[in-house]
Amino acid sequence: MHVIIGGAYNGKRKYIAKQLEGQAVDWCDDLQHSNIENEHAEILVITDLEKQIEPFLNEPEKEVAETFFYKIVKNGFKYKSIYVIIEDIGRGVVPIFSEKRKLRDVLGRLYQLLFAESQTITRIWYGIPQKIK
Amino acid sequence: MVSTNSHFITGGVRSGKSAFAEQLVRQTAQQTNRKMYYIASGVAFDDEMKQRIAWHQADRTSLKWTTIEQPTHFATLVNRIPKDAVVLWDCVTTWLTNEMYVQLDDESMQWQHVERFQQRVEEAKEWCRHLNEQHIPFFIVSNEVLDESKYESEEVEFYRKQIGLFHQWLVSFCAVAIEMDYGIPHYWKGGK
Repeated sequence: MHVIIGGAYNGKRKYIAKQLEGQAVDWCDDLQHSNIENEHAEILVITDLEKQIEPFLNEPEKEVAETFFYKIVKNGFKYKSIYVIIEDIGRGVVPIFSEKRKLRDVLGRLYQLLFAESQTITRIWYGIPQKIK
Repeated sequence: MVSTNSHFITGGVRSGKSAFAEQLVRQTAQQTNRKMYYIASGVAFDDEMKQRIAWHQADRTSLKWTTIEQPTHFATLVNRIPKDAVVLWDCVTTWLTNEMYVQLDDESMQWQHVERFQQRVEEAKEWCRHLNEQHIPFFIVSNEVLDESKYESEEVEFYRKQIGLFHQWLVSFCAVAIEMDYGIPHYWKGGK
Protein backbone atom coordinates (compact mmCIF):
# COMPACT_ATOMS: atom_id res chain seq x y z
CA MET A 1 0.00 0.00 0.00
CA HIS A 2 1.10 3.52 -0.85
CA VAL A 3 -0.36 6.68 0.63
CA ILE A 4 -0.44 10.06 -1.12
CA ILE A 5 -1.34 12.90 1.24
CA GLY A 6 -1.67 16.66 0.82
CA GLY A 7 -3.95 19.67 1.17
CA ALA A 8 -6.93 20.25 -1.13
CA TYR A 9 -6.22 21.27 -4.73
CA ASN A 10 -2.52 20.49 -4.44
CA GLY A 11 -2.32 18.26 -7.54
CA LYS A 12 -2.36 14.85 -5.79
CA ARG A 13 -4.36 13.02 -8.47
CA LYS A 14 -2.46 14.66 -11.28
CA TYR A 15 0.79 13.50 -9.68
CA ILE A 16 -0.30 9.88 -9.24
CA ALA A 17 -1.89 9.67 -12.70
CA LYS A 18 1.45 10.74 -14.14
CA GLN A 19 3.38 8.24 -12.02
CA LEU A 20 1.14 5.38 -13.18
CA GLU A 21 0.92 6.51 -16.81
CA GLY A 22 0.71 3.61 -19.26
CA GLN A 23 -0.27 1.05 -16.61
CA ALA A 24 -3.69 -0.57 -16.22
CA VAL A 25 -5.26 1.20 -13.24
CA ASP A 26 -8.66 0.97 -11.55
CA TRP A 27 -9.80 4.20 -9.92
CA CYS A 28 -12.25 3.72 -7.07
CA ASP A 29 -14.14 6.60 -5.42
CA ASP A 30 -16.77 4.39 -3.79
CA LEU A 31 -15.69 1.33 -1.80
CA GLN A 32 -19.31 0.23 -1.20
CA HIS A 33 -20.08 -0.17 -4.87
CA SER A 34 -16.68 -0.77 -6.35
CA ASN A 35 -17.24 -1.11 -10.06
CA ILE A 36 -14.15 -2.79 -11.33
CA GLU A 37 -13.73 -1.62 -14.88
CA ASN A 38 -10.52 -3.24 -15.95
CA GLU A 39 -10.16 -6.98 -15.43
CA HIS A 40 -6.45 -6.94 -16.01
CA ALA A 41 -5.65 -3.94 -13.84
CA GLU A 42 -2.88 -4.58 -11.35
CA ILE A 43 -3.12 -1.26 -9.56
CA LEU A 44 -5.99 0.19 -7.54
CA VAL A 45 -6.21 3.89 -6.72
CA ILE A 46 -8.66 4.81 -3.96
CA THR A 47 -9.91 8.40 -3.71
CA ASP A 48 -12.61 10.49 -2.01
CA LEU A 49 -12.55 8.81 1.41
CA GLU A 50 -13.68 12.11 2.98
CA LYS A 51 -16.93 12.01 0.99
CA GLN A 52 -17.51 8.29 1.65
CA ILE A 53 -17.10 8.56 5.39
CA GLU A 54 -19.58 11.41 5.85
CA PRO A 55 -22.75 9.21 6.09
CA PHE A 56 -21.22 7.19 8.97
CA LEU A 57 -20.32 10.00 11.35
CA ASN A 58 -22.96 9.04 13.90
CA GLU A 59 -21.18 5.78 14.60
CA PRO A 60 -18.23 5.45 17.02
CA GLU A 61 -15.07 7.06 15.69
CA LYS A 62 -12.77 4.08 16.11
CA GLU A 63 -15.19 1.60 14.53
CA VAL A 64 -15.81 3.73 11.46
CA ALA A 65 -12.07 4.21 10.94
CA GLU A 66 -11.40 0.47 11.31
CA THR A 67 -14.30 -0.53 9.06
CA PHE A 68 -13.01 1.71 6.31
CA PHE A 69 -9.47 0.49 6.77
CA TYR A 70 -10.61 -3.13 6.27
CA LYS A 71 -12.73 -2.15 3.27
CA ILE A 72 -9.67 -0.62 1.68
CA VAL A 73 -7.54 -3.69 2.38
CA LYS A 74 -10.28 -6.06 1.15
CA ASN A 75 -10.80 -4.12 -2.07
CA GLY A 76 -7.09 -4.26 -2.67
CA PHE A 77 -6.70 -8.07 -2.40
CA LYS A 78 -6.77 -8.78 -6.13
CA TYR A 79 -4.28 -6.04 -6.99
CA LYS A 80 -0.52 -5.98 -6.92
CA SER A 81 -0.54 -2.57 -5.31
CA ILE A 82 -2.96 -0.03 -3.85
CA TYR A 83 -2.56 3.73 -3.81
CA VAL A 84 -4.72 5.68 -1.38
CA ILE A 85 -5.06 9.41 -2.01
CA ILE A 86 -6.01 11.30 1.14
CA GLU A 87 -6.65 14.92 1.94
CA ASP A 88 -4.92 16.48 4.90
CA ILE A 89 -7.70 18.36 6.67
CA GLY A 90 -6.45 18.29 10.26
CA ARG A 91 -4.61 21.62 10.28
CA GLY A 92 -7.32 24.22 9.96
CA VAL A 93 -9.32 26.02 12.57
CA VAL A 94 -11.43 23.68 14.73
CA PRO A 95 -14.77 23.63 12.86
CA ILE A 96 -17.84 25.08 14.56
CA PHE A 97 -20.11 22.19 13.48
CA SER A 98 -19.77 18.91 15.35
CA GLU A 99 -20.18 16.86 12.15
CA LYS A 100 -17.11 18.55 10.68
CA ARG A 101 -15.11 17.97 13.85
CA LYS A 102 -16.14 14.34 13.81
CA LEU A 103 -15.05 13.98 10.19
CA ARG A 104 -11.58 15.27 11.07
CA ASP A 105 -11.37 12.90 14.03
CA VAL A 106 -12.43 9.81 12.07
CA LEU A 107 -10.15 10.63 9.15
CA GLY A 108 -7.25 11.23 11.52
CA ARG A 109 -7.70 7.77 13.00
CA LEU A 110 -8.07 6.17 9.59
CA TYR A 111 -4.95 7.95 8.33
CA GLN A 112 -2.97 6.59 11.27
CA LEU A 113 -3.97 3.04 10.30
CA LEU A 114 -3.11 3.68 6.65
CA PHE A 115 0.24 5.24 7.54
CA ALA A 116 1.16 2.25 9.70
CA GLU A 117 0.21 -0.21 6.96
CA SER A 118 1.80 1.45 3.92
CA GLN A 119 5.27 0.91 2.56
CA THR A 120 5.55 4.46 1.27
CA ILE A 121 3.93 7.76 2.16
CA THR A 122 4.32 10.75 -0.14
CA ARG A 123 3.22 14.26 0.70
CA ILE A 124 2.31 16.43 -2.29
CA TRP A 125 2.81 20.18 -2.05
CA TYR A 126 1.51 21.94 -5.16
CA GLY A 127 2.68 19.10 -7.36
CA ILE A 128 6.03 18.50 -5.63
CA PRO A 129 6.45 15.11 -3.91
CA GLN A 130 8.16 14.58 -0.56
CA LYS A 131 8.74 11.05 0.74
CA ILE A 132 7.82 10.93 4.40
CA LYS A 133 8.07 7.15 4.75
CA MET B 1 9.35 27.09 -18.83
CA VAL B 2 10.97 27.70 -15.48
CA SER B 3 11.92 31.23 -14.65
CA THR B 4 15.50 31.81 -13.62
CA ASN B 5 15.35 34.36 -10.87
CA SER B 6 12.09 33.95 -9.01
CA HIS B 7 10.97 32.82 -5.59
CA PHE B 8 7.59 31.61 -4.35
CA ILE B 9 7.26 31.87 -0.56
CA THR B 10 4.28 30.57 1.35
CA GLY B 11 3.38 29.63 4.91
CA GLY B 12 0.73 29.82 7.59
CA VAL B 13 -0.39 33.04 9.21
CA ARG B 14 2.41 34.80 11.18
CA SER B 15 4.94 32.25 9.96
CA GLY B 16 7.41 35.02 9.15
CA LYS B 17 7.01 34.67 5.40
CA SER B 18 6.81 38.40 4.62
CA ALA B 19 9.85 39.23 6.76
CA PHE B 20 11.81 36.40 5.15
CA ALA B 21 10.82 37.50 1.64
CA GLU B 22 11.75 41.11 2.40
CA GLN B 23 15.14 40.00 3.66
CA LEU B 24 15.75 38.08 0.42
CA VAL B 25 14.73 41.12 -1.61
CA ARG B 26 17.07 43.41 0.37
CA GLN B 27 19.93 40.99 -0.19
CA THR B 28 19.23 40.86 -3.92
CA ALA B 29 18.95 44.65 -4.08
CA GLN B 30 22.29 45.13 -2.34
CA GLN B 31 24.17 42.45 -4.24
CA THR B 32 22.93 43.46 -7.69
CA ASN B 33 22.35 47.17 -7.12
CA ARG B 34 18.63 47.08 -7.89
CA LYS B 35 15.72 49.22 -6.77
CA MET B 36 13.17 47.58 -4.50
CA TYR B 37 9.55 47.53 -5.67
CA TYR B 38 6.76 46.41 -3.40
CA ILE B 39 3.50 45.32 -5.00
CA ALA B 40 0.88 45.56 -2.26
CA SER B 41 -2.39 43.75 -2.85
CA GLY B 42 -3.92 44.27 0.59
CA VAL B 43 -6.91 46.58 0.86
CA ALA B 44 -7.70 48.15 4.23
CA PHE B 45 -11.34 47.31 4.85
CA ASP B 46 -11.25 47.71 8.64
CA ASP B 47 -9.05 49.17 11.39
CA GLU B 48 -7.23 45.94 12.09
CA MET B 49 -6.27 45.70 8.41
CA LYS B 50 -5.08 49.34 8.48
CA GLN B 51 -2.90 48.52 11.48
CA ARG B 52 -1.56 45.42 9.74
CA ILE B 53 -0.63 47.43 6.64
CA ALA B 54 0.98 50.12 8.83
CA TRP B 55 3.19 47.46 10.48
CA HIS B 56 4.29 46.15 7.12
CA GLN B 57 5.01 49.72 5.96
CA ALA B 58 7.04 50.47 9.11
CA ASP B 59 9.07 47.30 8.47
CA ARG B 60 10.00 48.67 5.08
CA THR B 61 10.99 52.22 6.06
CA SER B 62 14.61 51.42 6.90
CA LEU B 63 15.45 50.98 3.22
CA LYS B 64 14.03 52.63 0.16
CA TRP B 65 11.07 50.81 -1.26
CA THR B 66 8.77 51.98 -4.01
CA THR B 67 5.28 50.79 -3.16
CA ILE B 68 2.68 50.16 -5.85
CA GLU B 69 -0.83 49.48 -4.62
CA GLN B 70 -2.16 46.82 -6.94
CA PRO B 71 -5.23 45.09 -5.55
CA THR B 72 -6.35 43.74 -8.96
CA HIS B 73 -5.72 43.84 -12.70
CA PHE B 74 -2.08 42.94 -13.21
CA ALA B 75 -2.18 43.68 -16.93
CA THR B 76 -1.90 47.35 -16.00
CA LEU B 77 1.30 46.67 -14.05
CA VAL B 78 3.38 45.29 -16.90
CA ASN B 79 5.03 48.56 -17.96
CA ARG B 80 5.38 50.11 -14.52
CA ILE B 81 8.39 48.11 -13.31
CA PRO B 82 11.81 49.35 -14.47
CA LYS B 83 14.45 46.91 -15.70
CA ASP B 84 16.72 47.56 -12.70
CA ALA B 85 14.04 46.58 -10.16
CA VAL B 86 13.72 43.70 -7.76
CA VAL B 87 10.08 42.97 -7.05
CA LEU B 88 8.19 41.71 -4.02
CA TRP B 89 4.50 40.86 -4.39
CA ASP B 90 2.60 40.41 -1.12
CA CYS B 91 0.33 38.57 -1.38
CA VAL B 92 -1.43 36.17 -3.73
CA THR B 93 -4.32 35.29 -1.40
CA THR B 94 -5.49 38.89 -0.94
CA TRP B 95 -5.13 39.58 -4.66
CA LEU B 96 -7.26 36.55 -5.55
CA THR B 97 -9.91 37.63 -3.05
CA ASN B 98 -9.91 41.12 -4.57
CA GLU B 99 -10.30 39.71 -8.09
CA MET B 100 -13.20 37.53 -6.95
CA TYR B 101 -15.10 40.46 -5.50
CA VAL B 102 -14.64 42.98 -8.27
CA GLN B 103 -18.17 44.24 -8.70
CA LEU B 104 -19.44 44.36 -12.27
CA ASP B 105 -21.97 46.75 -13.80
CA ASP B 106 -24.89 44.42 -13.18
CA GLU B 107 -23.81 44.15 -9.50
CA SER B 108 -22.68 40.57 -9.88
CA MET B 109 -19.21 39.58 -8.67
CA GLN B 110 -16.34 38.75 -10.96
CA TRP B 111 -15.95 35.20 -9.61
CA GLN B 112 -19.42 34.42 -10.92
CA HIS B 113 -18.08 34.99 -14.44
CA VAL B 114 -15.49 32.27 -14.64
CA GLU B 115 -14.04 33.21 -18.04
CA ARG B 116 -13.54 36.80 -17.05
CA PHE B 117 -12.01 35.73 -13.75
CA GLN B 118 -9.66 33.28 -15.51
CA GLN B 119 -8.60 36.12 -17.80
CA ARG B 120 -7.41 38.10 -14.77
CA VAL B 121 -5.49 35.09 -13.48
CA GLU B 122 -3.84 34.73 -16.90
CA GLU B 123 -2.85 38.40 -16.75
CA ALA B 124 -1.05 37.83 -13.45
CA LYS B 125 0.81 34.85 -14.99
CA GLU B 126 1.64 37.01 -18.00
CA TRP B 127 3.07 39.66 -15.68
CA CYS B 128 5.33 37.03 -14.07
CA ARG B 129 6.49 35.87 -17.50
CA HIS B 130 7.16 39.48 -18.46
CA LEU B 131 9.36 40.06 -15.38
CA ASN B 132 11.22 36.88 -16.22
CA GLU B 133 11.84 37.98 -19.82
CA GLN B 134 13.17 41.31 -18.52
CA HIS B 135 15.47 39.38 -16.13
CA ILE B 136 13.88 41.21 -13.19
CA PRO B 137 14.15 39.08 -10.04
CA PHE B 138 10.84 38.67 -8.24
CA PHE B 139 9.55 37.23 -4.97
CA ILE B 140 5.93 36.22 -4.50
CA VAL B 141 4.36 35.71 -1.07
CA SER B 142 1.23 33.68 -0.39
CA ASN B 143 -0.63 31.86 2.39
CA GLU B 144 -1.27 28.21 3.12
CA VAL B 145 -5.05 27.89 3.25
CA LEU B 146 -5.79 24.39 1.96
CA ASP B 147 -5.15 22.15 4.96
CA GLU B 148 -8.70 21.94 6.23
CA SER B 149 -11.88 20.18 5.20
CA LYS B 150 -14.17 21.11 2.35
CA TYR B 151 -16.54 24.03 2.75
CA GLU B 152 -20.26 23.94 1.98
CA SER B 153 -20.03 27.35 0.37
CA GLU B 154 -19.57 27.28 -3.40
CA GLU B 155 -17.75 30.60 -3.16
CA VAL B 156 -15.16 29.36 -0.69
CA GLU B 157 -14.58 26.13 -2.62
CA PHE B 158 -14.10 28.19 -5.80
CA TYR B 159 -11.54 30.31 -3.96
CA ARG B 160 -9.71 27.26 -2.58
CA LYS B 161 -9.55 25.63 -6.00
CA GLN B 162 -8.25 28.79 -7.67
CA ILE B 163 -5.61 29.28 -4.95
CA GLY B 164 -4.52 25.66 -5.32
CA LEU B 165 -4.24 25.87 -9.10
CA PHE B 166 -2.40 29.20 -9.00
CA HIS B 167 0.04 27.92 -6.36
CA GLN B 168 0.68 24.83 -8.50
CA TRP B 169 1.46 27.11 -11.43
CA LEU B 170 3.75 29.32 -9.32
CA VAL B 171 5.63 26.31 -7.98
CA SER B 172 6.21 25.01 -11.50
CA PHE B 173 7.18 28.45 -12.84
CA CYS B 174 9.41 29.77 -10.07
CA ALA B 175 13.00 28.63 -9.69
CA VAL B 176 12.71 28.42 -5.90
CA ALA B 177 9.66 27.42 -3.83
CA ILE B 178 9.76 27.83 -0.06
CA GLU B 179 7.33 26.92 2.71
CA MET B 180 7.88 28.89 5.92
CA ASP B 181 7.34 27.14 9.21
CA TYR B 182 7.39 29.79 11.95
CA GLY B 183 10.60 31.37 10.82
CA ILE B 184 12.26 28.29 9.37
CA PRO B 185 12.24 27.96 5.58
CA HIS B 186 11.75 24.60 3.90
CA TYR B 187 13.02 24.59 0.33
CA TRP B 188 10.65 22.42 -1.70
CA LYS B 189 12.27 23.43 -4.95
CA GLY B 190 15.63 25.01 -5.77
CA GLY B 191 18.42 25.68 -3.31
CA LYS B 192 19.52 28.64 -1.26
